[in-house]
Amino acid sequence: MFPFQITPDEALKEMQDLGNKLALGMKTLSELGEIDVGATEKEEIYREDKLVLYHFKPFVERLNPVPLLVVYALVNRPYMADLQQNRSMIRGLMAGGLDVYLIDWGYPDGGDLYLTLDDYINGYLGRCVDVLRKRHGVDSINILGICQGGTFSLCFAATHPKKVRNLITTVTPVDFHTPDDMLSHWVRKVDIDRLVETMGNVPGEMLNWTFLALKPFRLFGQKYMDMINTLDDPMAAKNFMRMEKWIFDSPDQVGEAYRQFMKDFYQKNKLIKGEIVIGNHRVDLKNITMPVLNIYAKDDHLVPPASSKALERYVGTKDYTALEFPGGHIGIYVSGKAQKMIPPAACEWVNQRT
Amino acid sequence: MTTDNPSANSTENTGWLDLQRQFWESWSRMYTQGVADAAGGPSKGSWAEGLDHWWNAVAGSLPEHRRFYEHLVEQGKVFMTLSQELMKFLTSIPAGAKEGDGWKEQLKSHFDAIKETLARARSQDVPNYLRGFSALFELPLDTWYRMMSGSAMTPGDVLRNVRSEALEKMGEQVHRSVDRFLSVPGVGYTRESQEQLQQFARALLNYQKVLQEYLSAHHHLGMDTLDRLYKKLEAMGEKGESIKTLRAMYDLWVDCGEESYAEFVMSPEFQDVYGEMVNALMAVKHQARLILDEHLGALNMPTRREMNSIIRHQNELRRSIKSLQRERNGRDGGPSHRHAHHAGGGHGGEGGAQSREADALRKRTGVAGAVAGDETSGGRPAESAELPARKKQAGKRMITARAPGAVEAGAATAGNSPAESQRPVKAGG
Repeated sequence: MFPFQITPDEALKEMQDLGNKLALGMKTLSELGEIDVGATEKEEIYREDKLVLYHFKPFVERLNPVPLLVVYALVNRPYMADLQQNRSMIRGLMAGGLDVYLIDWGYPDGGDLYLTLDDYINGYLGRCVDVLRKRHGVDSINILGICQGGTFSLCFAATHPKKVRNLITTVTPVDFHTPDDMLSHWVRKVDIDRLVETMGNVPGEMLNWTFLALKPFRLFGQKYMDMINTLDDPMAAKNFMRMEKWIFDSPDQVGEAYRQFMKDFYQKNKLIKGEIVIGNHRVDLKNITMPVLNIYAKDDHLVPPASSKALERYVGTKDYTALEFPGGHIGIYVSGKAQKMIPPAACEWVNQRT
Repeated sequence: MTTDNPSANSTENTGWLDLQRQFWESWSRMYTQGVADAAGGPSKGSWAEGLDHWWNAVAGSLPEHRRFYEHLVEQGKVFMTLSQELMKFLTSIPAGAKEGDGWKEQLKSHFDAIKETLARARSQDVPNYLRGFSALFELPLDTWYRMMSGSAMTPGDVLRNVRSEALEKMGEQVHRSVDRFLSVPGVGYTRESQEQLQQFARALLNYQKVLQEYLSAHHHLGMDTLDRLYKKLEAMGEKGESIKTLRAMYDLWVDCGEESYAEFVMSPEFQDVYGEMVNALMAVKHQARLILDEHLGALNMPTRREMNSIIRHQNELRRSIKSLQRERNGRDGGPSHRHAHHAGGGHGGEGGAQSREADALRKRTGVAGAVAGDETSGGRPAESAELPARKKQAGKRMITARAPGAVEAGAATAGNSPAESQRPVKAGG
């Protein structure tokens, strides 16, 4: 059978429609106004250098007494977890009775060039944990790590296990050498030392385009064709622009921390070998004996599911739960499906253990 | 057409949108006429050209999101070019060929012609519309150029425009000659400067060579995508399935492009060429920085090397200050302090033994980056205060929160940090 059933008239109409949508889109975009992000009210409770620790103001009657600290990655900005009212993982967690805090690492500049992973994990993260332990009068808190923030959380929990009551990792790379890990495959032959010596801090834009280059036809082409089709809907256009704002809002990566993360984690895969050393601490995942909930995305192109799922083989806990989300790396936080699935599951899991 | 602001007011909006519709209807008529006159000639009434004309006329009225919209328009052009190619095929295929398997041969010939176009688009002497067609398959390269734009030597990377075919004509001989010239030893008091310039030129030549290899490695992607597209269409035909919209065809092309690309970039060859590419670019930039540093030093201006030294020193001071603050405040902001252990350096942790083990491991395996952090300890202690009311409740499974925004008297004294003093405290929590 001839595999095309398109008449010339239909084709002409489709192209004409595209032109009209583009014209209409100009009107929609010009009327959009400010692209606001970050839906939930929050307040700053601690600040150190460029880091700010936020507390989201609870809106439910009953709260879990153990605070939950959300640890975001150094890449991109944390408001992705609270993008808008109806797409907010943070809000979902709060609705489930969790008292939520968030680390905003800020935008590093040239003066931060020599910050190490020790500074980030045992230093900044450690002090935020201490702030919350003191503030809530508890010995240990709950931590939820996002992507690289999940890896940081694993390192922290392995070296300071008594300070972590329950650990949730989301789309977190653990085994950096799974066969389908595109990023890891690409950087294996890159001279990271030379790159950091040359660039100093690594431009956020460079990382950004690297991520987009993982699926260039889809992320650089098809996605925008989808956008054109929604240009007649101001709400959909605004949602798209919010995501767009987040995608291109990329802090630079501090040179020294980037060097260690790329060499030890991505190139040498030392985390699962128990050979990572952060400051004075060797990171042994076997020390993670607190309950662990590991959430990964089935269609994740940045952190392959196999990379996250490997965690089960290396942690020392007897209370390990894995949860697969049927979507991608970003969808797990912002999709409608995720709002119904991830926060309720995380809340139930935490509340059962606190 | 008008360049008036599309958002001026509703009456004008209606008129503005009507004008846009009229434009596209007119272009549609021109295209139809073009197909009739020139049997689908690509430049007459091309939709992508129409989009260009339209955008040139209206772009000025969208200052705020202009760059974003330019990208939408670019992708619209890709869609229209692909669609027009499909229409060319659909209008040229004899009705009889649609029956049975005759269409397969026709489709294959059409795809072969596109491949030829792609091959020609690599050289300089092709019409613009053919170049535009090759842009369909250049999205992966486009992302690379954008990725490296922040670190490239020149805006847009001038070496991109040296087409690989032209370079191949230059041949290795030219490169060898230049390399011999660059290997002439420096003499006299300018010896070091000469050597630096030679190294820079050599790094630049190497980058150009590696860039061309990278571009060539991508060249087969377009061909492979078309092969996959043909096979998928063939399979659809055999299963009795069909493409019913231009958009469905575009989506199928995207799927094929991603499949082809994923296979290519996960190959050992790509890993090599990617690594060489980044390393070669960094070598150029590094050498350029050394030369620049020399000049800055000669002018008694701060160099990158000096700046790094200062930043490193400042960072060590920052760590020392945090460590001292931590000691002063009795360290480890936990409520009972019973888990706090001084690990003898580094940021606070829970294991002296683990620390000693880490030292041994570091000696054994070598650790990147983190070693500098070992010399200092900790940071400043947590300044935030406890939640007094909440502390009493600790241990209970659930606690009650007050309505948002409520501020309890005395809350301002609860915290040490300025931020803390502003914080509303929830009753009962």
